[in-house]
Amino acid sequence: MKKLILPFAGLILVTSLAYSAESIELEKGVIWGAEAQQPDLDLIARIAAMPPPAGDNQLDVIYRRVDYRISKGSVERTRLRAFRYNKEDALQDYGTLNSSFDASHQSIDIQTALVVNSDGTPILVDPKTVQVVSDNSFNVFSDRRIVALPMAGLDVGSIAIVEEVITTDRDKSIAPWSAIVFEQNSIPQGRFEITMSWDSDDLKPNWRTELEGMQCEERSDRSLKCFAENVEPYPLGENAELDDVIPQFVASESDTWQEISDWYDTVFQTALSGSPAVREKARSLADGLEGERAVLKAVHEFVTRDVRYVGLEHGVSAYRPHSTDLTLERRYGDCKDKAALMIDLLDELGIEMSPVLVSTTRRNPQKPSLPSVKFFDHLIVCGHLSDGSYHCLDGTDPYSGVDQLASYSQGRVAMTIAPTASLEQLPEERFTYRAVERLYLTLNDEGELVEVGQIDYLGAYGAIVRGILTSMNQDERNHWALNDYHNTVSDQVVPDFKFKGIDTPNTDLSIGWETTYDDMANVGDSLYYHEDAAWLDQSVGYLGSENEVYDYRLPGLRFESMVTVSIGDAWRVKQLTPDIDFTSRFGKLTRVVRKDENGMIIDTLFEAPKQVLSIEELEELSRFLEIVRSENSWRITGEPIEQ
Amino acid sequence: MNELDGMHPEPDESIHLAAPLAVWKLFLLLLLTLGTYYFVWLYRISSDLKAKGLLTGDPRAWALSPLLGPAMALPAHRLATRLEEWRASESREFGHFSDPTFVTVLSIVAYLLLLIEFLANGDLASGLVLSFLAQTTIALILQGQLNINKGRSYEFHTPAWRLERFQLGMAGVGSLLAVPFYFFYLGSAVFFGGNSISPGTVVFSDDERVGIRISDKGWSRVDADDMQEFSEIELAGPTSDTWAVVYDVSNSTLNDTLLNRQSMIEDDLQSPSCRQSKMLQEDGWLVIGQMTCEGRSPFTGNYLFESRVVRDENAIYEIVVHTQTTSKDELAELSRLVRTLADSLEVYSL
Repeated sequence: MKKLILPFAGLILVTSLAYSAESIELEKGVIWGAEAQQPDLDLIARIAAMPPPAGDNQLDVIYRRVDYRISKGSVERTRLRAFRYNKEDALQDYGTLNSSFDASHQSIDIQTALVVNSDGTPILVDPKTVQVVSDNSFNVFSDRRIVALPMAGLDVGSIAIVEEVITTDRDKSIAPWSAIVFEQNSIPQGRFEITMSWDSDDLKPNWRTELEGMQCEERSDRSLKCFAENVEPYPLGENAELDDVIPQFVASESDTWQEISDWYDTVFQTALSGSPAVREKARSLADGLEGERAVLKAVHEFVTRDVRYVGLEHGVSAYRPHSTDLTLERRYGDCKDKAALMIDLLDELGIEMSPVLVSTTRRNPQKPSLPSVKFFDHLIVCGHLSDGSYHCLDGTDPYSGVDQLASYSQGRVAMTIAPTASLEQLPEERFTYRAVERLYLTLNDEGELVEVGQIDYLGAYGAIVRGILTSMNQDERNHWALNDYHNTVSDQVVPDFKFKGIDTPNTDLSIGWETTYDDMANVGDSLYYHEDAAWLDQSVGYLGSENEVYDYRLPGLRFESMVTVSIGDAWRVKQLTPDIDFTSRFGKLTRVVRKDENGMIIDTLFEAPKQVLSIEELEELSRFLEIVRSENSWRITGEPIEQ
Repeated sequence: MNELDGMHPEPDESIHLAAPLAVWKLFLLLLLTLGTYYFVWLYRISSDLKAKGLLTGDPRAWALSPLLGPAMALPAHRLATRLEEWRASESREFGHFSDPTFVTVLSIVAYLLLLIEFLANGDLASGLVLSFLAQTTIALILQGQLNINKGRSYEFHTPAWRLERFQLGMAGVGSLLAVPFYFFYLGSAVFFGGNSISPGTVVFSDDERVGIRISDKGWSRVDADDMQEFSEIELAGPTSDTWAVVYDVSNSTLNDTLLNRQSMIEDDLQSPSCRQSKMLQEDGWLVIGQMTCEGRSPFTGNYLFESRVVRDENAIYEIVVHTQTTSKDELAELSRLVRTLADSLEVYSL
């Protein structure tokens, strides 16, 4: 371990900042505190004395503390982080430290931001270098801000310390207060503390910790102190739904999920305008349609395709949908706005649906240990039709049909806003990928192979491919299909492609093609022709995982193939390809081969339904998939017909 | 001189005949030499007949007459006829055993047995045994007649009735002996032919990477490469037309192995009915290719080929099991036996 040299006897180097004794407001709600303008030698000494976490890590958290102070009008969250940089990569990757807050109802006060370099010299972050940026992604706009702190003077062996206080104005926040702290991090932590205090007993929150080894003590002075030492990082691995596996500290002022549901019901109802414009639109959408399903389809299609996705999530709009009247007029909205519009339109047409809060990052309804609205990040609508069938509609997915819930919502944790609310898992399809291949191959008396093919992409698979093709023009679609064909089948030909169902999510998406291969067989000689099941290979390639840490969620594939091979112009069929029956606990590949007067017909079906597999099972899954890929080729042999 | 029979002519001292050979001695000689004395005996009888002027040609050529196959019936008929002429010249009655037609028919039967066993069933050894038994009977009958003829000529005093009875007795004893002899032969062929394997035993290749779990009686191991080149294991079945061979085909693919095996069978046999399929080992990850070819040939009767090609991550092995039979009753049991063995290939190359 490198020894930290502490800055005594006036060894403090002065940065370009001329220290002042007063706080600086970098912009509205972003305070550069007076404490941040001079090094806190006591804090530095305390942190330097802490034992670092075990292991040879490029970056350590020496000390992490989160403190909540709950008052009637506000909640102050003080967060202190002390990182030690052990390798150069860490300097590159983690040299800028971020803090985020919501400017609509929060302010941030940076109290410490400094580096103690390998010589023991403290170097303060110059507030002039601090960047405050919006956290807007494409077409989503909110009050969330990121304060980026470029840590100055970092070298290997440095320690960076950042401490900030984020104050939540409870009068400006409409959501019940709660906090979720991920207790494990991607890097090891030497010491981790969570403390809470509350001004009065009625403000005492519920709390739970999930970290093994975390020691908590609730004190009579209305405080809680928890700490853990040498907290291992969570393992990095593919395919993990990390929110389902990382231990979390949760504090919430809500006692039940019903409270959350009731609160959100009141928030949501304010958006349902039932205005004349909405009623008229509903009637025009349903005009001439018969049956609830047709109405559902028309409303879903309108909201997903004619109301584009734009999220204006400022202030209370982080939770409250805009008025359906406004959303209809603007023809845009986020998931909440679209959900409210669908409910309003369907209500006008006699179909009752409910809003459903969704956590797109969680699948385990048992995992959230306390009720909190912060678990959710999405909203859809669900309900029963009069025939008893249950439907969930996601207004943000323009590529799926009415019977197809968006793949990012399927199987996720959800809560229906209803008088009896609880966490549940949304329904999911047995197969994420479903495709049907039809291939007609003719080896003619000139030795050419004429290929006519079509693939129907169904379900979520159709939505994925539709999502790729929708924004393309015809040339781009042809180019995409050609690349796909060349990468999957052969680059010897340039087929003509036809597309169906790209703009109609309620119909199957099909890509068809025709092409001819020259000189594929010598007429007059015996015939031996074989092919790999190339499109099946492509789809099977989506399955499997290199993951060595977390359970693997097999997405599910159903691939049906009908191949008709005709050789009758020049050959008499001699030998057919074998039937196949590969049945395993992961799925099955079956093939039935029939001889017909001109050749053979091959019916192949691969099915591997959605399932969760342990790490131990992945090796066997790989073996099964390898067998499927290596044994799915087919062949035909023939004797020449005397001309 | 025989007092009971004083009517025979004086012997011609210028004719040199071999001393009479007691029929029971001939039987023993044939038995102990596994029938090869038949050639010597033929030489002797044809020499005697030539000496009597009843036969032309070199006796050595007559001795080799069985090699003519079915045509041997003609020399046998001729020998019997000449002996009958000899008897007639002695004006003696010897009973129906000396009837040349009977000898001829018996000779033809002997060769038919040989033909059926060898050509129809491919079992030369069984054919030879049956043929030997039939020809022994011929030899005994003819030797009896020869002895009586000689008795007249050289004053042997054995009465004809006694010889006839002796012939009948020896034929009966021969028949009784023939039955256990034949079955002893069949049993010993399996036993000595290649170490019969007890059910439940696993027969391994030399490198122990592949084995066959035997579950039926009647299989015996023969040295690899005995029947087929480059084989790992070879087994002989309970009939001479039932066999199994295991190959290491790791340098090929499962699909090509099935394709080539079917092509070979289709090239060799008339219009076999073949089918192929592939499956996964139950509760395992071996890929098993299966090929069945069956059909009927006018020469061989019903035949069945079962092939299993087993692939693991490192190697591919093939077992080919074959049987054929003219018996419909036998076919069902042999087919079961063959399929059971084909399904019992075990691969240990992981």
